[in-house]
Amino acid sequence: MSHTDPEILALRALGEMAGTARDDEHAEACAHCRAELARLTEIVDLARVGGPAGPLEAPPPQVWDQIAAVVANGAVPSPVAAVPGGGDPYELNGAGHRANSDTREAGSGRSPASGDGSLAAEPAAGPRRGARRGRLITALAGLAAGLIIGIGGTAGIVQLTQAPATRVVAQIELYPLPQFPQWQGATGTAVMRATASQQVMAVTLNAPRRPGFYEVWLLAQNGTSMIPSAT
Amino acid sequence: MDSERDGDVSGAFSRRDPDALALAYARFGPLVYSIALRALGARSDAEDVTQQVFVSAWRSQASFDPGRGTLGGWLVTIARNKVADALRERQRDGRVLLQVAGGATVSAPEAPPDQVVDRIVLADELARLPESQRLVMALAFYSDLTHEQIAQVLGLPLGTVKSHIRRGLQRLRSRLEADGVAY
Repeated sequence: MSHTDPEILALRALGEMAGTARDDEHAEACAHCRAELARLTEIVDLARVGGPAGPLEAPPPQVWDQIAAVVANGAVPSPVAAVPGGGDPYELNGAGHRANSDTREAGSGRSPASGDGSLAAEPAAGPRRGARRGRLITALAGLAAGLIIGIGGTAGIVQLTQAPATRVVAQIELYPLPQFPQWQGATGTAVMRATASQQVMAVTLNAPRRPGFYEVWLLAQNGTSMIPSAT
Repeated sequence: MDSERDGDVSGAFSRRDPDALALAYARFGPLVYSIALRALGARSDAEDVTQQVFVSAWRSQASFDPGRGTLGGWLVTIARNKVADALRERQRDGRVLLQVAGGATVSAPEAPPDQVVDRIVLADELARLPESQRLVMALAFYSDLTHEQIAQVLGLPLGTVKSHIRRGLQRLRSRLEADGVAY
């Protein structure tokens, strides 16, 4: 007898009611499919614990400097030069950051063999934090074009489309996607402002009050990053 | 594919190619750093541990056997040991302070919980999925949208979304089995 369609098992692991009554019967009777579903469900649960994790953070550049210094007195080539192509998966946290900081550190003339990591790291901390802010602005500007706002539980979606404005970092009108007729007529804006120390995004939504709550999601259009922030 | 590239890095590492450490660091540095950061909290400690992991891995490179496990899994194991060492050191410092204060015993430090490590491995693999699939998986995990709604929102055929979900879950599973600790 054939096993349950793997796509149905995957959807069930996500908590969807997929498949037919016959799938139910089989999945209960068949040890293979039961184990398969249990395993996939574990992975879904693991992914969902604590919400989206986002891309991993790359270590700051001085870590590699120190490794290279310890291992071969700096003779080991830089990981940036050594990575083939431009396919760094850590786009938001990795490549730009690393490139910026490398430039800065090249100018600083710090000895890689100083061996006093904590002291050497101190002066670099300020500018690096600055670079981080700059990167965030870039990331958000990039995100703006693909901003999506998900509304209340399983309900609607509003997509953002305008280009960022000046002074405010980004400002965008919200309108409902045509696939969600129950939300037609909803309007809103999302405005990103920069203060001295942070970026603040204000979302104004003119939409019906319904049971549950609204969730705001930032999605990079290319799927590089999602930043959920609830209300 | 990424898994093939991982294989290249692993091969280069076991052959001790001159640039293998740099390749391994570029590929797994964020993974090791994230595990250390999550377990230790302090950035400076996480940086120290990351450095120790790669230096230690390079020096004990002869004990890495690509036939017995992945480079990622091996580095994760070293990272967990170094994190445990760092916690033990912290505890020792804390105990000295407590003894000075005439104080109590401190509970034994532990390696980061398996689930924490596995979550980071999983986040690493999610980040490596092709763009469209990554977005489908993120919406499937973290929004309350069904796969039909995801297809609508992203303007993708239903079959593509279902296939992305099935393959995505399988890929996460393979990665966890290779590099994770709980599976």
